[in-house]
Formats: sequence, structure tokens, C-alpha cells
Amino acid sequence: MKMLGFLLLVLTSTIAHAKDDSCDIFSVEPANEKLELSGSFDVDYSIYWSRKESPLYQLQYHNQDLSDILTSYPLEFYLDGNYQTKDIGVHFKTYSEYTTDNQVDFSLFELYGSLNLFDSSFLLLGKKMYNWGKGYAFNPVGYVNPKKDPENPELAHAGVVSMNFEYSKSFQVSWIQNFAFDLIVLPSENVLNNMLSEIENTDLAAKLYFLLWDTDVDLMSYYYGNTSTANIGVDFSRNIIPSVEIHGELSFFINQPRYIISGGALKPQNIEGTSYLLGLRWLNPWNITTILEYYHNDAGLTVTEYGDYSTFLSDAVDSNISSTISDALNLSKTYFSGSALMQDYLYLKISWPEPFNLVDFAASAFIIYNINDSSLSIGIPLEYQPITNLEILFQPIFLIGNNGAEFGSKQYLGKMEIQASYYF
Amino acid sequence: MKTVLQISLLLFWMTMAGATALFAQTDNDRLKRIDAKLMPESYESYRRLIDEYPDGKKKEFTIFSVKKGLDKVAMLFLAPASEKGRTTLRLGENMWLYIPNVGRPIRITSLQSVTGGVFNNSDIMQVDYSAEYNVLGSENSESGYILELKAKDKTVAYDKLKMWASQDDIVIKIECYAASGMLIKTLDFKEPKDFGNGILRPSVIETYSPLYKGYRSSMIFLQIKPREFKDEVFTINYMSRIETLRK
Repeated sequence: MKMLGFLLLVLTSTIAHAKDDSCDIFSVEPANEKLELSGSFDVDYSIYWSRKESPLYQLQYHNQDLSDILTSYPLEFYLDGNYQTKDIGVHFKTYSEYTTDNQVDFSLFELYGSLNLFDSSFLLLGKKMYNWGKGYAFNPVGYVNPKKDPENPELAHAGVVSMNFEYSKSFQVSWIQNFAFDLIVLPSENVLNNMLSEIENTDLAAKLYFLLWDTDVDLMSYYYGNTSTANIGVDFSRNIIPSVEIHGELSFFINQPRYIISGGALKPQNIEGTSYLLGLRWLNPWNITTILEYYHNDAGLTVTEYGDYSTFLSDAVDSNISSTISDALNLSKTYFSGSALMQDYLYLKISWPEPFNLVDFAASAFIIYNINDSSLSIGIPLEYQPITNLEILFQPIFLIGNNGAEFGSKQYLGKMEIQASYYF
Repeated sequence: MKTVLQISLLLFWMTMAGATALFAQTDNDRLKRIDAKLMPESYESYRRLIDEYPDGKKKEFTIFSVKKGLDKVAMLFLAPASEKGRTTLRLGENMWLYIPNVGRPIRITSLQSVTGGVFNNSDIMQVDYSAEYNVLGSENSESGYILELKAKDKTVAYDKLKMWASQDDIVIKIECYAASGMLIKTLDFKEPKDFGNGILRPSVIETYSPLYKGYRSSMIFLQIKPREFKDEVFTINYMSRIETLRK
């Protein structure tokens, strides 16, 4: 029944859009004020090679004798809606995932209204995804960003409920061309009775943007309501020559929560420190783009601390007590999820659209290298576009490292993802 | 006698310098007239980009563009669906690409192409030629004249251009050269069309390159309309809202 509902949602959206597209007049006439739908339907098939000796695997599939190779085949549906007049707009973005009839997830990624105010200022109210920072794989200054997956940094994510006021100004002088100010007010995510939150827990984020001497520069700050935690940061991006762009981010944090395992238990800490990123993007004469980034985070785990965390997971497995295993798994998901838990990483991505004159193909490869424990994740995404609006992705990913190293202790040795996406 | 000779020489060289400056001025004025005939200083346009590949395949893109002044251009992809909502911005030689899923602009370069094909970003987001090039010299041709252009600095996509124009200052053909003197591509301006508001210009630009044998790209102008914009439309914060300009 849920499968039927899911398919009905997909079909009605795509058919409604197909009717719109049949009329080509949109291309040369002002767009009508109507709700415009767009999005994509993705069919995924992923094969996972299990790393059965991994404590995380043993916690996840405790007492289950599974095959060495596991598969998943979710159906994913992104639906975007836009209603825009000259000054007022309403936008939504939803994400639905069907795995089985018992597992259909619906997420409202974005839902906001926007209003053009006076004199180049703009107001946005609702749930919105922000993306601060200049880094491709990591963003030390991404205070309002959703958690980024370096394996797929361009994936859409859920936004945050907020009020955003924005003001822009252009200048006709050579050294400064643009200035912008962003203020974001974020109500507390700790909601009482699914409805109310305490006003003193409201967070504030602010960003100043300058285009100075052909360089993008942002200064940003985040204040966590009712705590003494705060972040302040700066980023920049500039083309030093037409084919080479350099970028960087630097963030200072005060009283930042940090979690380690000490004495076999979770130990919260509050620290002061810095996080930074330096990167470049280089386009060579063969149209191959290389992105190289170095990322450091004082709040990340050291090798010893990661070892303590691994030992904690292993001890939970060895205890063979269901509640201990369940607690350890929950703790891992809550405090140690993500793909950059430690302090120093190198990221390298090489992309080559239309390799060897194969027009419908795009090949790329990336490496996320954990400098602290020498483990790494390697991915080789290959895209094929046989017809307009249909993309097929083949993406093998290999997780390499010693047992106890970050990428060497993941549940899987690697995976092969095959994804067909149809855009409408 | 010696003094007379020195004065004569001085006068000669001053006259030469003056004449050179005058001709250069005239040629630069010609280039400005070519720019003015191609596009109003501030406008909106709808275009279709067609990339043809050696195996006969085609990729098509529909684009809404706005421009202000000499060097401010913003662009919104309307089709195909996989590209819809992407926007680009150019301020002089600064260029950015905004992808809705990513949610922030990233810097791109004039050398690459957001669409693939033979047109690069500087062709697709063309600013006034007089903003990027100085005229080195000119000569008459059968149908008008030829200008030889040199990039004002190294950030410009092509080091030199050879531009053919008609007597009434409408561009016919441009050859684009690298600093090494290698021909990078040729742009043919075709099919003059009256777009209204006094805009009579080629409606099709075709390009081909010896570096991409068998590839051909076309840019078809569907509509060009003079329109004024605030400077703030051409800022990275506005990139996610270019669609509002179509309402």
C-alpha cells in the first residue's frame, strides 16, 4: 500500500510536469505566476562488502549470521515546488525514500517563504538549507550547514528552521565591488511538546561578504543562545590565474562541545581551538579539474582517543549483553557519526567530463586521506547520460586502513553504488 | 641647421604619435559601435545553446540572461530539467556557478564550459569586447573591415581576436587566438534578425574549433529586450533569485 502511495506521488508529479514542458512558449515569455514542480526520481542498487571483524559491524548486526555481501535498493524521490511572483515566493523541497512497505520515509528538506524588501534587502522565513564556506569537502566555517558527506558533497540535505535577513550593496570602485550582510535567527531545536521552545535558546548567525580586489571574503560568527559557546570565522576564494582558484577557511571556537571515550564511558568536554582548511581547484588544458584540500579540526579525535572509542565498541561486543550493545550503538550514532571524526585530512578529487571524447560520460576519482591514522576512502564515480535528463552513476568506494583506523574500522570494506536518476 | 633638423624630427614623431593615437581612437570607437550593435548596454535575453558532437548527438540548453554595463552578466538555466535552476554570474573576469542542491556559488573560470561543447564560459557570458580588448590595428575587407584585438590582460580567455565586421559595424566572424598564435576557435555570426527596439543583429552564433574536430556549437537568440537592472542583481547573494526577474 505504501509502495502504491509512493508510486502515485512520483507519477502525479512527473505527469504534471510533463504537461508543463509540452508547451515550449515558456522559454521566450515571462514565466507565469504558478506553482512549478521539478525534481528527480532515483533508483539505487548498492552492493556492500562487509567487514565482519569491525566492531561497528558486530554491533549493528549482533548475533546475525549474514552473507559477506549485502545489498540495498531504495527508491528515492526529490520533489521541489516553487511559486514565485515578482517580490514574494514560496519554495519547498521534499525527499521520500522507499525501502520496503514497512519503511517509507518522508522528509521536508525545505519549506520557506521569501520576500524582496526595500533597497536590495531580502527576508526569508521557514526551513532552509544554508551552505557557508568555500571548501568543497569540508567547511570549518559552515556553522549553519547540514552535516556534509565528503563522499558526496553535492547531495541535498535538510535545512534548518530560521529567519534570514539579507542586504546587498554594489559599489563602482575598483577595490570593492560588492558587500552583503546576512543575519540568521534560529529558534531552538529542543522543542517542548512538539511545539514550544525557550526563547533564550535562540541561536544567531551573521555573515559579512565582500568582493575585495576580485577576492571573495566572508566574515562570519555564530552565537549559541543561552550558552557561552561561540564561533567566529573567515573564508576566502580567489582565482590567482584563470585556471587556478585558491580558497581557505579559518574558524575559532570557544567552549565547543566535544566528546571522547574515557574510562569506558562517554566524557563530554568543552574546548577552545581552531579549525581550518586550505584548498585549490585547478583546471588543466585537457579540461580535467583537480580539487585538493587540507582540513584540520582541533575538535576532532586524536589517534589515542579514536583507539579508546574503538576499544569501547569492542568491549561492548565482547560483553554480549543486548542493552550494552544497544547503548554503544546509539552512542556511536549520536556522538561519533560522520566521515571525518579525526583531526587532519587531505582530500583530492580529479574530474574529467567527456573523457577520450566520450560525450555522454564523466569520470572522476576522489581520495579522503586521514593523515592521523593513514586510513583512506577511495571513490571512482563514473557518470553516463544516455539521454537528456537521465543520469546513471556507477560508484565503487573502497575503505582502506588498519583495524582500528577510522576508515579501516567501518562496517564495510567497500561498496558499489549504481544509481539511475531521472530529472523532471 | 642642426636645430631646424631636430625640430623637424620632433614634429614628425609628434605627428606620427598623434596620427597613431587618432587611428587607434577611431578603431576603438569602431569596436564600441560593434558592441552597441550586438547588444544594448543593459538587456535581458532568451537563448538556446545547441552542442553537436562528432557522433551526431546533440545537447540543448535554454538560458535566460541579463546584462548591465560593460561587464556584468547573470544567467539562469531553464532547460533541460537536469540543469534547471543553475545560475552563473560574471563580474569582469570573476565568474561563479550556483547549483541549487549545493546551495552556494563556487568560482569557475572563463576557460571551462558550464554546458560542455565548444563555447566556453566567456563565450556564453560574453561581455562587451571593448571591456576586454584593445584594438591593435585594422584593415579593409571585401564587405567591411577587419579589426585586430589584443586582450587587456592575461585573465581574458583569448589573447588575440581577429574580428570581421560589415560597413555598418555588424560583426560577421571572429577568430580567437592563444598567446602562442594558435587558432583556438572561430565564431560565425549568422542570420540577421530584427529583435525590435532598434536591435538588428545576427540571431545565430556558430562556433567550431580545430582543437575539437567534428564538434560544433550554436547559440540561437530567441529574444533580446533592453531592460534596466539594479547593480545588486549582479551579486552572488542574488544568484539563487534570478528567476524572480522573469516575473
